[in-house]
Amino acid sequence: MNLLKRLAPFTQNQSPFGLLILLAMAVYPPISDNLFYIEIIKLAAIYAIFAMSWDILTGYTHEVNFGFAFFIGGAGYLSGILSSLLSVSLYLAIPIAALAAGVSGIFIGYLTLRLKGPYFAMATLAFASILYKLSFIFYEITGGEEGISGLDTFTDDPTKDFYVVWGAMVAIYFVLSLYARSKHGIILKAIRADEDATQSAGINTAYYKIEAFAISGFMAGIGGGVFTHSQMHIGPTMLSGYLSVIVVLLAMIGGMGTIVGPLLGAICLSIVNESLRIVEEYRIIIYTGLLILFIYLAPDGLINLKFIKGSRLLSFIFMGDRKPT
Amino acid sequence: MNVLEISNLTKAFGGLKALERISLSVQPGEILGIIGPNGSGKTTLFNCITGFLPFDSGSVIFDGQNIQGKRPHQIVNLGLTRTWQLVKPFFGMRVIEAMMVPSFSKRARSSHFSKKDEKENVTGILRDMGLGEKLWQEVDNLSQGELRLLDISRALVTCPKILLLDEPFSGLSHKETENISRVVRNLNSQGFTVVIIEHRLRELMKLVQKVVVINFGQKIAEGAPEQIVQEPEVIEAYLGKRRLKIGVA
Repeated sequence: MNLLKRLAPFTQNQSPFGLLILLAMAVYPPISDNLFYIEIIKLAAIYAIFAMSWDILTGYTHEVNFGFAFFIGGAGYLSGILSSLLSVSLYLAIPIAALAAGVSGIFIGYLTLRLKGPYFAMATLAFASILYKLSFIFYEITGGEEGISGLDTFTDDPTKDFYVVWGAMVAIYFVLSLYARSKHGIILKAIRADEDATQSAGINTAYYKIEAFAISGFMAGIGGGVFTHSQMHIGPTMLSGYLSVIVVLLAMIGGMGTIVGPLLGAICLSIVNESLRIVEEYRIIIYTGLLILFIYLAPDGLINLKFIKGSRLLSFIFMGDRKPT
Repeated sequence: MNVLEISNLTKAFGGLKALERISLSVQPGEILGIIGPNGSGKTTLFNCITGFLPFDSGSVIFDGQNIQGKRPHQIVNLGLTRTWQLVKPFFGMRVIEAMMVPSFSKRARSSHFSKKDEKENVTGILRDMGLGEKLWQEVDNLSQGELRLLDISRALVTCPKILLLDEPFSGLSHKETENISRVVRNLNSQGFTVVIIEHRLRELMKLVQKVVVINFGQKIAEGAPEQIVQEPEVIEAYLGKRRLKIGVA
């Protein structure tokens, strides 16, 4: 009972639906022993980390970060280089890489502080492109086009590996949703609505924007590190614009500014994408067609659909919102 | 002692002198009105005082402290809070959430002892404003008059020494205007010092004790409302000059 009380702040106002997704993923491997499927949901979990950490900055401030691969790939490369060239343990390499991503988040956040809308998006895009090119220029360290292969994994067993990734995803989900519900999340939402008005409420908006950037970068860094080591490989695709765009789409289709939305979007779409491999020739067409359809039907994302927000029951199930009467 | 002392404040946008050597002072506990035709520089004056625009020369002394070069949130935390001519509501949030934002500011935090205290203060302000029942509503569903009240409530949460209201009556119906006037009078009787920019003179003149008139970035008159309306320069600024020889061939 005591333990339950202590856990209360973690479960209060949590989206039941989000918890259900996390639980469903955890119980899947014991049910199925098909390693291919386990590998797919592992990948889905990693994409969920990316989408959720993207959401804490862009979903809450509406400044679209189009260069998210900078943090993912940057941290992935750093932890790959640390563990392959300097033989640092991956349990040390990933936190170092994530920290580096967080610090570069502070740096980029500071530089782009006054940029808005498309200018902000372009600046973030530029940072990611620079890193992408650098990975080819310094091919002796980064392995150029082939990247770095044969990296350490967490365990020898793919199922256990999945649980490591799942654990990271659950931890990030809880940290981010608590952050979003705290004072910090409220202030970020206020900045999204009107930055001047937030300043005239006595809030140092620059600080909170940079903080969100740092946290977003740090979490993406963990995701990038975990991805690198669970795949035993890091290549330039993880720094490419393609990855940045996919992260934006996953989070947008799920529903920005909710944390649970990007989780839902990333998990469902990654699974759909992989299951379309049975019709491999048409996969890209069907998948991107599906993305366009979703954006067309639910421009604010699935979780933010009007009928969900308007209904007491549904908004409780999906968002964990309890409306007092 | 004057709580706000502005002397020789000058601001130019390129070649356009938006404010030229404006001096005025605000005494604690008074309601000061600033009036002037469109484009005379009233809002620019507010922007300069509150740190949203840097000014070129002159000084703004608030509570014995020069606040030139301070950032907007720092000035709010010193006790000088403003509202905006066009309401700037926090759309996408609940009323209670929107009210929590200013309560996170340094100044508001140092004046409350506990979280409970903070919440009571916020709900108390909303009740005084007549928004008590809207606590859990979405900001998006409020009317223009309610948004204006919410804007003022938000400013009050920061415990200002001076409240700067930028055209609080604009876009409001007669009834809503009266409501705001009542709120401002109440605040003043509670000891708040208020500075109001306004266009609608009839409502304003009933409210204020002193008026400053600005035209083309210059102060042209200052005094009690009854005096001000007699000043030829003020009448000219609002109505134009009578041209005597019109119609004579």
